[in-house]
Amino acid sequence: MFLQNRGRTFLKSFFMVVFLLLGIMTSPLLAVEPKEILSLSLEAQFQLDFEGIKKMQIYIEEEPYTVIAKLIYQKPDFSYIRYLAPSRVKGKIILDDGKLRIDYVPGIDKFRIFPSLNSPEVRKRKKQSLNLIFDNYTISQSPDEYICDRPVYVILLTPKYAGDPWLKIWIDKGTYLSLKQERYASEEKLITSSTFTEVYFGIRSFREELYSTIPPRLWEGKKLPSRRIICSLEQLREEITFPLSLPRYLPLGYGFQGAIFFKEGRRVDLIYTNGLKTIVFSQNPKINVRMRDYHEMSFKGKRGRLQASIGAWNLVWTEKGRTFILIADISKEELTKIAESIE
Amino acid sequence: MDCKKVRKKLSSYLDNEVNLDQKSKIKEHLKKCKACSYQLKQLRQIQSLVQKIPSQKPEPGFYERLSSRLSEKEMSLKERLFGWGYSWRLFPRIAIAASIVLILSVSLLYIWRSSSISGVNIEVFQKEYIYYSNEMSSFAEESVLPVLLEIK
Amino acid sequence: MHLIYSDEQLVEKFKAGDKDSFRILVERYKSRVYNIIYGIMGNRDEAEDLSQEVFLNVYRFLHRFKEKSKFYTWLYRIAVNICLSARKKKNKSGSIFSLTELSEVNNTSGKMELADQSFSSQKMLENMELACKIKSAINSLSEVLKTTFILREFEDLSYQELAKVFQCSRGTIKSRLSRAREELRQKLKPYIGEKNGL
Repeated sequence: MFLQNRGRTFLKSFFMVVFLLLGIMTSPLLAVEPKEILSLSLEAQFQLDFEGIKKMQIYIEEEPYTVIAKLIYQKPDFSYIRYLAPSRVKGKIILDDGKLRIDYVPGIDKFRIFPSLNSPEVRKRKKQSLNLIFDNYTISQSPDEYICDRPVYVILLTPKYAGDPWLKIWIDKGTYLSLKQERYASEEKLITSSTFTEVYFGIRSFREELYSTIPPRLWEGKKLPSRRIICSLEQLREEITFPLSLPRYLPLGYGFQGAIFFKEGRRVDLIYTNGLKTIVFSQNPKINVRMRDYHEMSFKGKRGRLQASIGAWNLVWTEKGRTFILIADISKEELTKIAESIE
Repeated sequence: MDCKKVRKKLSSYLDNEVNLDQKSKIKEHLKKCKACSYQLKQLRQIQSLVQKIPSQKPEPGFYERLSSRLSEKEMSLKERLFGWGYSWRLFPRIAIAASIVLILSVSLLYIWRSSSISGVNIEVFQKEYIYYSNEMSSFAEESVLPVLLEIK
Repeated sequence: MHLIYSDEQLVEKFKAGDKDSFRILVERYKSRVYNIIYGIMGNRDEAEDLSQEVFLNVYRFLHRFKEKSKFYTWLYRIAVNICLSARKKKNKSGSIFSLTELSEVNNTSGKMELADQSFSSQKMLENMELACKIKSAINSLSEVLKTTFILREFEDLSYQELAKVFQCSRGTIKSRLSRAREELRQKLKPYIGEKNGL
């Protein structure tokens, strides 16, 4: 009798210890890794129906600009952005249905069609570029917070290389949708901050209505611009008939992502990325590029025109019957180094 | 071009419905003439304000109401035979005029293209840069990038 | 989904017996037609009525539509004709947008629209007044000028297309728009200046 009691208490405590150990061992397995959270957030918008108002603050030369837009996502690959403020951009619409991306500004006939950014190819490319981010950034997690009354993970990306931006992302726990993002030039200097101020899950808008906000006559019968992204330089060399100019120097963390070849114009755009930012180097036959507010810049015996615009440097120069355009969001020194290294 | 001529054409200029020759002449005039540029500015302001008038939408269920009316209305044979039509009676004349216009515009386009390969706005490249940025980077701010061009 | 079929393809399908194509065309164009008619007539009931008339006519005569021209020019032509004859019947100048519907100035489509945050309430009031002035200025234009102007500004139609819609020459369209804009400019001169308006 006495022995049986001892046996029972022993068994109880034994099982308690086992459960405790199991709990300790599996809880890290249950907790989601920051890298995993980031990876899931890339696909989040394609897995749900969602509407929200996004408020964006862009700091250009210390001046904050507030932009407000309404965003609508519908699975599997539909997105719609309508800008509400400031008046300069109010009414601008971007509609992407997985095949085409239409960028429309009413009234001024500003209208462009691009290949969709919601297509499987682009999504795959973004996932690949995430690996670059993992290489160039240290990922860490801060304590959970709330955005729009929803619990969110807070992930911090710290750059390994000087000159790259810091990124802080707030990701909804339930859906992995990114609800807020802040980008810093240095530890204290904010470049952009964008957050949802209202969110609704579910379908509230009908696609046909959204399509009708763009005059159908504009996209009627328009052909999707066909472009191919060539992913290897060797393949590119095979296709083009003129000598290819390449930069020999790239800032740390940047790699060749792809090239777009425009046969008719004998133009090639080379795209380099570090996961978060891109450098575009475009080479064309001799053309007259119109620019405003530029400075003359000399590098390695060449004369170019330099302009700061859209948060990046734009450098244009002509040499030996070819015109080159380099656009990058990097320091002027790095830009000069790249330009000087082009052969 | 003098002010009187330019002002007559300002409305078409605003709608980009002037030929290239006129366009450049008007542009030249506007560079020098404050009065005419001011008038153009007023026209642009009016256009912009009109664009801001909110668009009206019908009450939900429009098609349902329409289709009940469709089933009510019996199309009489008379209507079908003698009802006012929208056939283009001027079609043959329009066809000839259209083909002449087409030939002219194609040749104009060819001439224009060969002369204007020389002039391209940097914005073309900037728009591509914005598109590539959106395409290539994982956490590109999809909604911020497109407006960067408007904010300067 | 619907980018797969162009307007002309839908018309073909309708002629071949597919009734759903007509529904798609209605859904595609109902808001645009309604907006244009509302702009011309000035009240929602008439806009609803006449928009329905437009599509009833489309249904009736779609089998006669020749694909040589664009569907929307044909559609707008019907809309314009219906409006102009309705105006003639009415013979009174209704306001283009009723002043009591002014509260809709900041209330565009979508339930979550916000007023432009850069506006103070003072500015908002000024803007509403300006919107009022624009609307009454447009309304004071003659029927034909008003209709041509609205179609141009709301639908971005080229002069060529407008000429088809109104069954007149391109030169006529040019002069109509020029006159309309000059009239508006004269009426609105005191309210638009260096700083006002934008």
